[in-house]
Amino acid sequence: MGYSGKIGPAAAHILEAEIDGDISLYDPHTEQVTVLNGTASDVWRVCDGEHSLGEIVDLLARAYGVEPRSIHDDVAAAISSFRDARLFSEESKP
Amino acid sequence: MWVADQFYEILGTRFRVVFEDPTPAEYLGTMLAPFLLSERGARTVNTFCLAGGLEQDERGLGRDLYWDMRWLAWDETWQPLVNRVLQEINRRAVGGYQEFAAHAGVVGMADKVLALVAESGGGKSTLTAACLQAGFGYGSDESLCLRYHDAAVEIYPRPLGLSRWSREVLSIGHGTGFEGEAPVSAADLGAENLPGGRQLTDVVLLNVVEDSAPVLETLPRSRAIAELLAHSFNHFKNPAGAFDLVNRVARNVDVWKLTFSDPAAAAAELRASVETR
Repeated sequence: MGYSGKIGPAAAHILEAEIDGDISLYDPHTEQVTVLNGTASDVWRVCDGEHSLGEIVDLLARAYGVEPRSIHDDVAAAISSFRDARLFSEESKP
Repeated sequence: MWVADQFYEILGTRFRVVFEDPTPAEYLGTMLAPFLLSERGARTVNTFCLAGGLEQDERGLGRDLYWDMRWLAWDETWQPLVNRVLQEINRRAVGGYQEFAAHAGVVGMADKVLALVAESGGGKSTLTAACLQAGFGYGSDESLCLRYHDAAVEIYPRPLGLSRWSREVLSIGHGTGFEGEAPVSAADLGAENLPGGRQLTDVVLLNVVEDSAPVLETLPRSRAIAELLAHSFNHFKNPAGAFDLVNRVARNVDVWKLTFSDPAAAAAELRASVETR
């Protein structure tokens, strides 16, 4: 699934908890814990399978009041790390 | 002839320990005193027998250790075999524990209960001992045990396993006669055991750095989730329950990174932190 498609949603077996704005994700299959900082948590929240990378960047840029291009690479890197950790459902939308 | 025959219950697992020689029997009895059962049972599993005594020593026969009628070890003196009994008991007690357990020392003072989190060999036991010398109560030097249903801490006050270096750096006179690691009780260090059933208040991640004055830095509470799961040795038994548990615990703790080189100075730093909060 490339970045041109919709990003997410989380795989069904991924467990999620939020403390003080930081999201922690736990994969019981691999016993891997991923703790996201505040910014990465914001990215994760909009990886709901309804938005593409460009739309996610625009959403977050509006929320932060910054230019989309200034956060594009960081958002893409965060999404890439989510993919590497196999946190997304394999049934992403085209 | 057996001179000591005691029954213990540790983290829900029962043990029986039988000795021929009163000296190691008394020593081990002191170490396992918090777990002594008043009633006796006819246990035939998890029975450790230490055969041999002074007479065998004088004839150069040494001592034999048996577990459930199976030979386990031999040594010229009783100290290594007492250590082996304690290691075997610890392994079986923790392995059979059905609640959540993670590698951590546990100490407490006033209304605070601190988990000192580190890998094996990461300084847990030494810092735990230093904390007991500094006035903390004792929970464990090995395992943070948390009940799933109410997230309360179950204490596991096994004897602290202290290396020769640890005993020297903390000026602990107990444990003479042991070549390497020696079992030392909380009472030997002037400390009492914590009451069980209290909630964890602090997660302290140990960071031993040479020639470093003790520095206590606050970390996000979410770190507690990752650290407690990463240091757990039985969360795989109940992954979803373990995640839910550490999530509940993490919401109510302060999380710290303690960088230090001198355990006594680090314990003093922890005490000062507890007393000013």
